Amino acid sequence: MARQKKQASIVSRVVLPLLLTSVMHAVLIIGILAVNGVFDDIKANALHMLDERTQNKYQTLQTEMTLNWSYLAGMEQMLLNRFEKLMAAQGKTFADIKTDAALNAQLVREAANELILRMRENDTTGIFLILNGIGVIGKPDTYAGLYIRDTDPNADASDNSDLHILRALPPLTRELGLSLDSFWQACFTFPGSVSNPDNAYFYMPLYAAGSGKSTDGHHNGYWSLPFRINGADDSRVITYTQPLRNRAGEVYGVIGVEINENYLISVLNRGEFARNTRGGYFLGMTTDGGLSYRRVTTVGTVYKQFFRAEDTLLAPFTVQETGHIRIQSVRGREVVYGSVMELTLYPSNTPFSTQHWVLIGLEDETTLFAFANQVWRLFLIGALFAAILSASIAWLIGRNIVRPFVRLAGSLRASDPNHPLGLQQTGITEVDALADALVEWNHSALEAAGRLSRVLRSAKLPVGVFEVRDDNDMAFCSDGLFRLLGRTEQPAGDNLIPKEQCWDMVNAVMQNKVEESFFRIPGEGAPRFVRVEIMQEENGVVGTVMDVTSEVEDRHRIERERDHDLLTGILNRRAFDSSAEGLFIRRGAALGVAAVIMLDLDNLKYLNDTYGHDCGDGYIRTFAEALRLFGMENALVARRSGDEFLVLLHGGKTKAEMRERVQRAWKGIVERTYQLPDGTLYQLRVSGGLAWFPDDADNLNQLIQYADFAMYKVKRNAKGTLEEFNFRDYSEDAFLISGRDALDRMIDKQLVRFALQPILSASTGDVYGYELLMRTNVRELPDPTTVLRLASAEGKLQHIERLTWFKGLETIRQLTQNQVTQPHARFFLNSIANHVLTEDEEAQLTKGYRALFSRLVVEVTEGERNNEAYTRRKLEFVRRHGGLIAIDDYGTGYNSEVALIQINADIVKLDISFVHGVDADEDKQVRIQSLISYAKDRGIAVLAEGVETSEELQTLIQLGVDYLQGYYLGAPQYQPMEPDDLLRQEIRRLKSRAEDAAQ
Amino acid sequence: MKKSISLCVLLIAGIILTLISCPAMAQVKVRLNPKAPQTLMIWHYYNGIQQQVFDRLLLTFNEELGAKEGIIVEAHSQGSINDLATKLLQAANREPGAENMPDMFAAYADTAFQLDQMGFVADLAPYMTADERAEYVESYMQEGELGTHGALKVFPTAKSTELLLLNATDWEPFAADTGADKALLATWEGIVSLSKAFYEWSDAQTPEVADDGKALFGRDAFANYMLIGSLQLGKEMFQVSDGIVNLQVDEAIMRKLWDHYYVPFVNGWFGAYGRFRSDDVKTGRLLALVGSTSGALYFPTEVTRDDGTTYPIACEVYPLPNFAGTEPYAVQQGAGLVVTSSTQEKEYAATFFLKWFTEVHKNIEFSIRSGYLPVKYAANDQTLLDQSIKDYTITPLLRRIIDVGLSITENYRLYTNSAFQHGNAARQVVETSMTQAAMQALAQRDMLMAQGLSRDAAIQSLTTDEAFAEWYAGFTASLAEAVR
Repeated sequence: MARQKKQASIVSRVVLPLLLTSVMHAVLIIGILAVNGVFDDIKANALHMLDERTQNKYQTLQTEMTLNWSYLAGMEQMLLNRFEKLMAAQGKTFADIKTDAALNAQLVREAANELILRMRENDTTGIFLILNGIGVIGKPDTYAGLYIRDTDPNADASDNSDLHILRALPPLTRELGLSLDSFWQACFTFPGSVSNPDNAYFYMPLYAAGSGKSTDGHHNGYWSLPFRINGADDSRVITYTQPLRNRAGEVYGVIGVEINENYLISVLNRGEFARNTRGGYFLGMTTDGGLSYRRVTTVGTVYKQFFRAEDTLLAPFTVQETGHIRIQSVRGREVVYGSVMELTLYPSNTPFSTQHWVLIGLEDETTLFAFANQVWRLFLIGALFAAILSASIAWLIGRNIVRPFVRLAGSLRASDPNHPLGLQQTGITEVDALADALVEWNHSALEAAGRLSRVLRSAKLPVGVFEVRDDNDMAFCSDGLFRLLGRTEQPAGDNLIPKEQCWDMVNAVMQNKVEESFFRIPGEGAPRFVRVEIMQEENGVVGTVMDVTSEVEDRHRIERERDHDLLTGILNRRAFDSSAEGLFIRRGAALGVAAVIMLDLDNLKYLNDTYGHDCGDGYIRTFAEALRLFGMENALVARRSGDEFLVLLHGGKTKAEMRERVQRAWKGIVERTYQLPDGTLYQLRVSGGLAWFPDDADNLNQLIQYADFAMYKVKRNAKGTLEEFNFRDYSEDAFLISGRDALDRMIDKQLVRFALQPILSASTGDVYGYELLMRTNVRELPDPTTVLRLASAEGKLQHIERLTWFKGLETIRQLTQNQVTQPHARFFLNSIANHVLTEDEEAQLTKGYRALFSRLVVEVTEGERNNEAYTRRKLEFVRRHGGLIAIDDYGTGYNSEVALIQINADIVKLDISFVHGVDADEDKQVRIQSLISYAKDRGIAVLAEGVETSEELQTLIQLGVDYLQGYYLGAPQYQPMEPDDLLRQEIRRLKSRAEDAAQ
Repeated sequence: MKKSISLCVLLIAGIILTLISCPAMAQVKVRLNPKAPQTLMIWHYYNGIQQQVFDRLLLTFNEELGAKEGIIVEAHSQGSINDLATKLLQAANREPGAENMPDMFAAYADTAFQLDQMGFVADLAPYMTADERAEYVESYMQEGELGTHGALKVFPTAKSTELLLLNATDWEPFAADTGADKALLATWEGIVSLSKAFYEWSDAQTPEVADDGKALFGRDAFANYMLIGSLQLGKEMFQVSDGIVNLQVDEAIMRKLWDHYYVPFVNGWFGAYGRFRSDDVKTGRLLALVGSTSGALYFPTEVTRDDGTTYPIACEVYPLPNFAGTEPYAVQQGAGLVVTSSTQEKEYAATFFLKWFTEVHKNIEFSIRSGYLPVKYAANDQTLLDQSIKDYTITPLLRRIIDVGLSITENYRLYTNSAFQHGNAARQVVETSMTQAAMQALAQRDMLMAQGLSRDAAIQSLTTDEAFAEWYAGFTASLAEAVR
């Protein structure tokens, strides 16, 4: 029993502290934020942004009002000059303006176009000139002047169709071609005179100028508050007016611009893209230092919403510490904040400098502090959410942790101790670990009681188990067992079946024994194998069944791969040897009369070269297939190497019977065909040799050697037949064995010399060079062909190549030193195909014979491109040191032209077969001709060798070959002689004749 | 817990489905949030009284219903209707320096059609019930369809038509001397003969000066003369179907229109001096003009002479003249308000405002005080109008204008051509072709006279069949060019 501990639920131990912590977190964070004034900072920031917004708008307005709209500099002077000139011409003075309406009409006309121009430049909605004098004859209360309006300063119509005339006499309106405003009048009138505030735009600057200290028009300029020039139906405008003075300083009129309130609003609205914000601007004027503001105009919805369109003062408001004003809405609770920026419209100490214009950026409190309030709200919500989260976690813990424990306990309590314990997974690692431990303990307990665990059910191994107990009629069979034993019927639910049924099932399989413990499952389809182990227990039997199909298959495959040739599937040499040796050791009837047949495919190299190795492989496979004709019984068929095959036929009674068997098979084999990639059917061609047991030899090695010999003989002679071993032939050809020693001797002692055969120029008959022909002094090796065959068979070609280079160059050195040969004559050296010198050897050669390389012509055969890397290296070596390359035996191989291009030779040596009888064979002439023209185009010289008659010589010269070689022109000699003078003359004669013929 | 999640999913799916299926219903219902009001910017071309009334109505709306519903309407005048159209096209084409498109704007069908083709115009039909639509004068609603049956692209706010205005004060001495009959003002033929008589009479006033006769009549919006005249004489010049125009320019009809404008113009019986004919009446150069009911408001109460002196005049209002023996036709014109296609909330808010704005009493106040005609059947009711007219201080002239205007809507067939591609350009050709020809002929006449030709001979040479044929050929060619 567990030690008694103080009892408490998980909830109280974990959840309550968690809840407490999260609440404290929230309180702490909010507390810190509140104490540090974060929310105040956010609010201050919001006010700062309002300031910036207002500042931007203020800049725009300040610029527009002072530097654009009211910019009338130069106008005063310009008008003065023009007026003076005009009056002078008529003998009038400025004093006449007061009373002379006709003069005034002319003055106004003089100024009209300048005014239109200035209005366009200043982007104002109107411009006016008012003379301080009579406008209409007989009407002293009229003032002459011109007033033009442009409703949209942003767009200028070239024909002035966008302009309206507000004031002007009819003749001028027609002259200017402008339309009349609906409020058009011929002259200005100012009803109510100075007392009417709507007339301020005229009188204020007019009289201010009189009182002002400065005579500068700009210093006496006046900005009006909004008013309507033409009474109630007209739209509201603000104006800027400046006095006009003559040279005496007397004011004779005013000039001014008008800014329509709508236009002013559009300027203030410019760039206010976020029109859904509830901000706005208030443009106002104060004369009491900011105690109250008179409205000029407002923009945005705030003002309209909160204060109606009050024309009067913006009040009551309080000024904040920050300099912002805080305004209570007329409706009550709402509050608006304002950022105040003062415009500088008047220079200091001027008549109207006490009028301060301000721009106030407005934003209602809710919008302004929306972010701060939102942050505050978010924190509160966050705290609330944390509390809810903690409560939820408590609930979840109660639900997801405590409950599984309760359930686990319940299911443990309810389980049957005699049955495997099954506990549901709870998803909680710790609880599941506990449950697993319980299940494990339960299983081992069950096992100890002699029962197999049901855990096998979940195991995915191909293992099945059965248990048959003496004390029970029922046998336990694990789930996998039935399937493993090839049964499809699975007992539903229970794994207990009658004992007899279990044994029947097991025994049925155990009848098909493959090897110890391995059994084959009877049935269709791919074979399956199982291993069955049965163990005797104290009071019963336990059996395990394991699927070993893949194991068995693997073993079979490995054996197969070890013993069989991969390409053909027939036995390889190793398997052949071990099987055949077994037969020869056992002897007796199994061996009987036997035949060893060595076979060699005849044209494999050709197929490989011409159609590629895939084709060659196919050829080999076809042949291997054909070898089945020797029969499957009493026959061993193996691939010995690339194109060599070995067959052992055994168990024969008589030689005659066996011979018939061989011949029947042979006949079948050589009739077989193989389809080439180009579609043609190619007959199998094979050479074979056969040796008999026991007549020819009584051991396998000897038999193979004899069969090989017989085959080799066929290969040398007729090819394509099967010959039996003949002891007489064998002894005759024994030189091959002794020849091996001779070759070694020749190579070791360098027993070779070079004979030189002259090569003549076809145009001069002079010696062009000599071909070095290798000769040996060894008696057993009578000719170079034998040497090469032996060397090839013995793998000594590399040595021959080395001999050729070193001995050849040494010979050349001596010849040139002794001045035996023609100076500048070239030396043709026959390099061995597919063999190159090592780098060390090349270094030795270049060290010893560097000077000779420029006179060297190395002959390579077409076959050399079989190993292109070697060939390239050899060619590079020769070229690097100034030697030339010649292609030998040109025209005997395949794809000669390709070789010509790839090797990029300097000289082509026509094969003797072309030259022989060329004078009588037009076909040969045509082929030589085409070669010559091909070669000439590429700067390749053509050499004809094997020239043996005068006719051949004549034909070749006519055809245009460059060099000539052959017995007719000079036999190979160790000491080269000067060519015959007669011969030289003949060549020259033939040449000149050929040239004549060509012309 | 799972149950509650699936409940949530169901609920959300339900809401989404409801939202998606909404437009399929006859009327779109949108709920606006008064705390985050929809701000609507209107561009218009109203000025004077019209603007004042509009601004005051706007203020009322913003303070009361708008504040409650969450709609704030701001309005900016953009100058003349032409300035406005130019600015709209600049905004629509996103030209450098152009402002953003407003949420609503005033426009004629031509401009609206053009912007609709560019995809800027919202169809307000989904926000209106059939009953609501039926309250508006059908032909006004049809004009706002812009070729799509059942759509509502231009919301009618006020309409106008044309009438004849006469300076009765200056007419008096002429009538007294010649016995001229005002009844002749009812036909174009009569007006031509009156004008001829007036010229001759005024020429005779100063026997010492030759050829100084005065013109009696002039007119602007010349395209209306051409279009209405052609229709009245038998051919609709712009026959439109599916937004495609079929030009019907009948030579005989054109000749008649020529004879009743070009010929009297070259003779000096008709005139055009200032930029507008109303300007000419103000300065005493003309006695009569044809203009729209809305412009009639500005008919002067006095004439200003060239020296600035003035004398008061009385104005008389007559229905639009017709060609003798034809069915009376008059133009139906006036810009409506167009809503820029936008969010459903904005479109709904705009429609909400427009419905409010065209409520009978508001519509009467807005329209008749500025010489327009209301757009709802109920508002065109004579007794209701009489009642309203009493409520507002209305001058006798305005009263007369409204009366005549209403009589025209009752007795004339009102016509406006359907909008079509290049309608603006075609209209421009019709507007200027004959007036420019007449102006040029006038200049030529004076040149010929300066060269010593007699006035009659000069006029004779400029009013031949060849002169007409030449103009006619040019006119048809430019018209065809304009609509291509």
